[in-house]
Amino acid sequence: MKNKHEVIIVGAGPAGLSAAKVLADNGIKTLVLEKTKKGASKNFYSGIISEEHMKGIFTNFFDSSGGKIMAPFERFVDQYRVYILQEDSFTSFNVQNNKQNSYIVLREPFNQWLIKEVQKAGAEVITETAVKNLIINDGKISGVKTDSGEFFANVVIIGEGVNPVLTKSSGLRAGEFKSNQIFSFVEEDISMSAETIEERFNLSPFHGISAKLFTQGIPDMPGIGYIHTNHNSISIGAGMLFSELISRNINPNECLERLKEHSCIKPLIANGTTKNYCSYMLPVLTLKNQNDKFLKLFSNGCLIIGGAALITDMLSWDVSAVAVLSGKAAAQTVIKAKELNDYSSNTLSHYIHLVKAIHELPHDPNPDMLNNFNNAVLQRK
Amino acid sequence: MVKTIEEKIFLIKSCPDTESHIKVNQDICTICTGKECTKFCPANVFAWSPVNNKLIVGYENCLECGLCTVGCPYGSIRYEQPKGGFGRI
Ligand code: SF4
Ligand code: SF4
Repeated sequence: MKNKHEVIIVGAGPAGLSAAKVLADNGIKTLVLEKTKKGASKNFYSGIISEEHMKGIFTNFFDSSGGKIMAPFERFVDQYRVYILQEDSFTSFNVQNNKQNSYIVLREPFNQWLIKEVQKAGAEVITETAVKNLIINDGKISGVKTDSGEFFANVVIIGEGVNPVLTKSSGLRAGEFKSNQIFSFVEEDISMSAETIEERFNLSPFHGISAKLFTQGIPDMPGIGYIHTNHNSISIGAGMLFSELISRNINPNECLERLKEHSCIKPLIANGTTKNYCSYMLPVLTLKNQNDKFLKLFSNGCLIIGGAALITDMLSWDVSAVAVLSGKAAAQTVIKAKELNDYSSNTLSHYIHLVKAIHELPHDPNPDMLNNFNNAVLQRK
Repeated sequence: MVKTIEEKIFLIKSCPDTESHIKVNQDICTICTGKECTKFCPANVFAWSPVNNKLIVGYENCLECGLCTVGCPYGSIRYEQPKGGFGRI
């Protein structure tokens, strides 16, 4: 059969590329299809990557001596900071992170590095190719239809992110979220000199801050936000429960603009130049609390990973960690299926056990204290 | 400092297709009272034209977040993946 691989992965984000790397390392013929030019970087601009799970999969994360990081990053996360904003005051606290075990990265260069590593391991990556449909033969998913032809495989792994058009259109997910099941976010990247950032945030060179903002105390802006200090820009995002945003008639951008005007935030971004803007949704409904009828994580010849599988954790600091782990879990499942030469849902169902364990794992670089704080804030909501 | 959606969209790299990846059912939109999409879309893609009695879809500005498929209370929006290499690139 033409264009036949063992595994096709839809989407070159952290989940899909992690799956591809593990598969290629195990000698499995893998193809990654990605709609954009450079790999999933359209929805977030920057993020936190913790080395804990990354370095096991992407073994070139550090150089061979194990000391120097090889992946492109902006700054070490030196401090985790929590801001609690009130209308005209704020409180904040820091948790110092001396371990240098997590990094602020810009998605685009980081993702391109991941793609190169996946290619070096032997997987094929085709960009600018959107998957339109799944190909189903005798009740088994056996490939994908793209706008530049058909591709076939034993297993299709869907890692298309939090706006999963294919997952929905192919009936693997039953319908749409309700507006009270997601947060809408917008993010802006504001450039300024590295020195200005270090002065304003009281940082040494190459050290950075990952901050979470809680704004429930402000009557017109109940929600959350975040700030990452990149090398010479600041990424700032604001999110709100989508149903609240709709009922208050506000736009996600207004939410962000209000945050930017707050007396706590304004001086941090003053005189910066906005150079990017993006938007995304994050489900509050996650694998942990979803009803099994809403989403099928596996079927005959198919597995779903990352955001498309509702494997997200909005309040964690490294939001991609759970996606990475789900990609790895899918790869392990496929490796086992290959041994048994059986790609039916029966064998692939093994994935569920691996995935359910992800949420139990400590997947976040943040200290317990912040987890407890997160839980307290969530319960209050 | 840049504030409005229009100013921000101007900064973004994208490569719009000639055909819209977002389709709406104008029959539903005409009788929709809230026109929520014209308020919640972070890229102001939707605008109601009273003159033409029609919802205008400026898909070229779309950020591909998918919020509109959740936010339209009547399921009038059909969102498809832009073609490979088109849209946000
Ligand atoms: S798309 Fe939905 S919200 Fe917008 S006008 Fe049409 S029916 Fe109303
Ligand atoms: S996907 Fe997002 S940016 Fe695009 S039209 Fe829908 S709500 Fe607007």
